[in-house]
Amino acid sequence: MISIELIIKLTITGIMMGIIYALMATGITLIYSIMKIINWGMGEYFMIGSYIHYFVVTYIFGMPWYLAIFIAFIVNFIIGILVERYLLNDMFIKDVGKPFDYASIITIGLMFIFRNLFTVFAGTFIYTPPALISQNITIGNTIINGTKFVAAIITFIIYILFYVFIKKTWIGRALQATAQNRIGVQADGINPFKMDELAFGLGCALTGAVGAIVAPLFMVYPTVGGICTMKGFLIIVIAGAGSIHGVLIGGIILGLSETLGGLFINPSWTSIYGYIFLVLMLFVRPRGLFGEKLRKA
Amino acid sequence: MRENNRLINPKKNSVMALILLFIIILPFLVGDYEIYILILCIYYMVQSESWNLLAGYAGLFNMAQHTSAALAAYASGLLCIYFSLPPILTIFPAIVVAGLVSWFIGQFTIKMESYYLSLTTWGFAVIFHILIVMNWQITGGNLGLEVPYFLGSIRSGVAYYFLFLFSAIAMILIMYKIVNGKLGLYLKAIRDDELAAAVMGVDVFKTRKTIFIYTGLISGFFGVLYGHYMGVLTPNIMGWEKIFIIILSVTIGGKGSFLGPLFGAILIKILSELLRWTGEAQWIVFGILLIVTMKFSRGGIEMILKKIYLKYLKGEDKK
Repeated sequence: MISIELIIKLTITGIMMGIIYALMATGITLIYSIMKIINWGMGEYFMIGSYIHYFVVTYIFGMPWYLAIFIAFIVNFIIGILVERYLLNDMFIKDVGKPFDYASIITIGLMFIFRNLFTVFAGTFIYTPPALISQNITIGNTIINGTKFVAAIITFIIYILFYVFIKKTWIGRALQATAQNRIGVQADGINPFKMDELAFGLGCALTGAVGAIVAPLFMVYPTVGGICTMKGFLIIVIAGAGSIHGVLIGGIILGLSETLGGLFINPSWTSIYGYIFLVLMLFVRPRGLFGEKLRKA
Repeated sequence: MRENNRLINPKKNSVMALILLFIIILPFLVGDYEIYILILCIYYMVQSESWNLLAGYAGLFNMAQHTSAALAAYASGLLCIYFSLPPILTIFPAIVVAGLVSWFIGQFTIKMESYYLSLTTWGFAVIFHILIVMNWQITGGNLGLEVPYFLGSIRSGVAYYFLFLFSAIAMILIMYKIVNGKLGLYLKAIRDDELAAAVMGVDVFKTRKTIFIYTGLISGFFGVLYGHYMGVLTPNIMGWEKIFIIILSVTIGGKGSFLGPLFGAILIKILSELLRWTGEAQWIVFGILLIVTMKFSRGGIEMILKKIYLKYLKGEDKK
């Protein structure tokens, strides 16, 4: 029975999930726009964040879950910077053939290493961290899962902070400039290699943080990163890579299409609606909603 | 003329004859399980080589290589089950399905830039994976689909070995012809410089699309053989691991060289058997191997062998 309340509830849920999905895609779009590569192992940083959440909450007694977000952010930032400095930086300074192929192969290799390291050391068990808050949230007369609500709020705050960072601060503007023209920024005293490191580290850190936030929702197991990679890439193709506000809209479209598609068509097909959107989008706008045409030097 | 001379070079011919003899005798020397490994080797050799045609020669980093194989296998299996046809008849419609799938994916993706192409082909791979799992009433879903064996009641590994071997030789010869023919020339021109090739009159999109469909057909043909050899199809054959093994074999062997991926596939399959006892840890080893190869020796085995050959056998320096 489809009632107005149900539609409202699923719309709110869809928007909340969309915000969470959007932050999963933000890291991918940041790395893409600066370095022009796809990080296939993005979901693994998400997975590392989830494990950090579980570890902090369960083993270190008395630690609140919001500290896990900071720890996940910092740990992933460091991992990202190390990966960029010692593995990916070669693609700009050495003869590696096509830089995109090089980066794809390296990140796919890293993905398998991380995923199976956790499989070997943590096992294939599904861990469930405790919920972020125990009670549900009531808006009007619709009841919403409290954990989901809190996760969406925190994700949105991080997204806004990131947006302000990119648009208002000096470093953020330097990142934007690097995305536009790698050679031109060197004349303005910006080292594009430093910007690469920062962008890769920041992208991984954001993904790790969202992994830590949504650990109670998505559970904690070695292949949980697949969800993040899937949703993130889907949003990138729908919204167009390289646009930060695009991923928010793309994420909300994806979240709504999943919940409302599940309501109106068939709930067991939720994961396919995003892909239907993708194929439709490829017909109408092959570069995505907000994708810019790549300028060739 | 020089090509002809090389073919009738007696020294080279005797080496080739020895290798051929070894390949033919090999299945009689080893047990059933080893024959199974050899057949998988042959399967991955063909898959790697056809991915190499795309990624190494055409510059298309295709992430849906395993999908055309898997869909062809499913198409053939379903035709066998629902129309009770023998596999020998369903193999042709199944290859047509693989070709259509490649055409469909290529229609969207060929004109894109490399990253969009990878993402979108990967997206299609995931879509088809989900569709196979979801339509479990028809495809069996995660439980798997039992399909008839290709050779019916003949269950000897040796027979399958020769079936795979001769199909593989045919496919590799076709790919060799493609690479050394007009299409291959176009592909190499596009790989080296897309713009320059277009200026010289190479139809970049048409060439890429042709090779995309060709490799889809080859991959589909081997997917069908694989499905009817295994006897059971699961959505696992469209998983991440399959494309990872293909990418790994091509990278280890040497992307963009013809013989490299063939050796790479054999090496990886043997390594994977040696590391079987480690369980999931073998993927860590593979990942490290992939990164080390990419970072320190981009040309893979082929490049290393070439360097050794030039340095010690020909007495030449690097330059």
